[in-house]
Amino acid sequence: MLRPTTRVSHARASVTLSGHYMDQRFPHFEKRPERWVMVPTNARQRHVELNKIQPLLCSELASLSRLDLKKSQLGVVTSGIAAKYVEEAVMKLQLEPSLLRIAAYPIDAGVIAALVNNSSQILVVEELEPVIEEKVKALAGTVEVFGKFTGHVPREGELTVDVVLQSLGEVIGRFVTTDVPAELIAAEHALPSRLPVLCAGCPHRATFYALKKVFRKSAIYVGDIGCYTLGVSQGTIDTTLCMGASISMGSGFDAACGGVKNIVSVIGDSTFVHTGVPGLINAAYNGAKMTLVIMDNNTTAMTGHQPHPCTGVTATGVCNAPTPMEDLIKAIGVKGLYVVDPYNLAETEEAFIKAKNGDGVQVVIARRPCIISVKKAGALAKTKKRVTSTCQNYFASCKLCGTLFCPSISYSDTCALISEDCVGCGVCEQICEFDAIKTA
Amino acid sequence: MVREGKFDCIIVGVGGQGSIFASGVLGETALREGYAVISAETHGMAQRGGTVEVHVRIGSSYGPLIPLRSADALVGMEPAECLRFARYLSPKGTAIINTHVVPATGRDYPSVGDLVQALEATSGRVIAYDATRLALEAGHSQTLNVIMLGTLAHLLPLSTLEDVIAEYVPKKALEANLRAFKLGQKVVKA
Repeated sequence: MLRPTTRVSHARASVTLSGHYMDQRFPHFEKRPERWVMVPTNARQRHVELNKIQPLLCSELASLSRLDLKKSQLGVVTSGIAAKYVEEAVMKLQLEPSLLRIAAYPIDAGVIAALVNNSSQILVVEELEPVIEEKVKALAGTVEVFGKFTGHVPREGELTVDVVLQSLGEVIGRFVTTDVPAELIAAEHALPSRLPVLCAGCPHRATFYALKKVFRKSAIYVGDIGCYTLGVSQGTIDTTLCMGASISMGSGFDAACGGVKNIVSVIGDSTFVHTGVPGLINAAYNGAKMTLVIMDNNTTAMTGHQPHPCTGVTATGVCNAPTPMEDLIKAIGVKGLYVVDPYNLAETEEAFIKAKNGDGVQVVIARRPCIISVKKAGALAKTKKRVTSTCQNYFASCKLCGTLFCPSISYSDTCALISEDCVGCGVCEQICEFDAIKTA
Repeated sequence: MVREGKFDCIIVGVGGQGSIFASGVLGETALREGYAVISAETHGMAQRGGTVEVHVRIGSSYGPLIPLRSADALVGMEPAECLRFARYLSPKGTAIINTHVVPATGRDYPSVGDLVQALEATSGRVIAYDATRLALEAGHSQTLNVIMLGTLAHLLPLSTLEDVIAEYVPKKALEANLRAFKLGQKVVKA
């Protein structure tokens, strides 16, 4: 079992390849229904087999774990990235504990017993939940075990060398402290925050603006996972849980409080084809009353612009006929379907009004390519409009454009300013009640 | 072959300033010159204007995260971001800080002079300058990261950084980036 942690997933390092990755494999499938068809009769037998192989797995995997026994009262059990922090921390403390690095699960009891027999105190340092610690405690007998259960290692948050130094210090009663100077801490506390925002020219911003205008603050906005989660700042994302939940939770909200509240589900094009479709079938078939907004920017923007079935490019970069999004949605049997360009606020608002007044499941596809894709394709220069603001003193109290949370609009004490990174989407021009913002 | 020189460096900035690109070029150079390299980046939706923090450890056999108060260098592409991670810089370390502000939300932006002063009081050396202005002088605001690498270069145990930059930047931006590297180097020569 692999246990990826934040730091393993976000680290890069020089690695030496063993050559195994080039092994040539020949596809082979052996027909053995008793092994691969998990009907109850077979499953019951497989459960016996599964339990039978556990000791074998343990002993086979034990060779991957590393045990360095030292003449020390203290033993440290660790695994993965935490092992590197322990190595650095014991170096700083000039400590030589026995060290057991667990490489794989299930954990072999023998290797833990070898450490237990050599130590009178054991500290367990692992990321996430105390899985190894539980196993060690069960086998430790009278040997003291410190870790997350005893509060020596923090249960939440990421481990670092400094955290491990503190944990080791608490066990051995000796600390290598790193004091951050008070003036640095003071300077740090006074810093402004820097929260991520939708890009200048992001079509989602316009969609959210229109959505809020039509469905008001009182609607329940059921969100999903993507850049559009940032719609929380515009007040148009109330929940984010897991992929596809916008639609399935949306129909749940309708069952619970439909008729009292308007339900608006918000999902991206990529997430929709990934996990949204079954939820939409369920909502449409079971007669939910809700509006689904598909924020279609023709890519998977947040994770780095991977293609998806509606883009016409396969996972390996080969061109193929795209899955037709509108045909798919119509076939599901929704009561209304509208496709709009979010840069056109009037058109977008009109579709939302129709959806709000319509029956059953209403779908609005707000379609415009991700601004990052447009820039990468070199297509921005061709269409880029220049936006200028003549916003003056008495407009300062308006700040309607501020509800867009656009990084290209800033405010001096007297007026709204358009910065050089503006891409000229023209959405602020459409909402300015004083005609103070002009595109040309 | 892995060499023995060790260098821990933190590169920070705002999403889009090229902190991750800079760390990649730095790591690649060190790798080619025979050092073990490990790095880790923290970027909450970096492309959307958030904070980006990259740890680069050259010649280290430990994990990718640099402990508090122990980095040899801190490269801050933006002053507030530089201060946000100043606690990682060693009391003997060098801070290279771009004094050009990228506006942020929430509290009022502190005075850049105060930020530089806090760094000066707590680190070995502070090299503070308007690197964004130099980048524009080089030909493009996006060369900011290469300006900063140019200034960092004199601290590094590496000699081929400029060559690797030339290889990694887009062809059409090559000239501007080479100018940027030289301008960045000149900051410490002057």
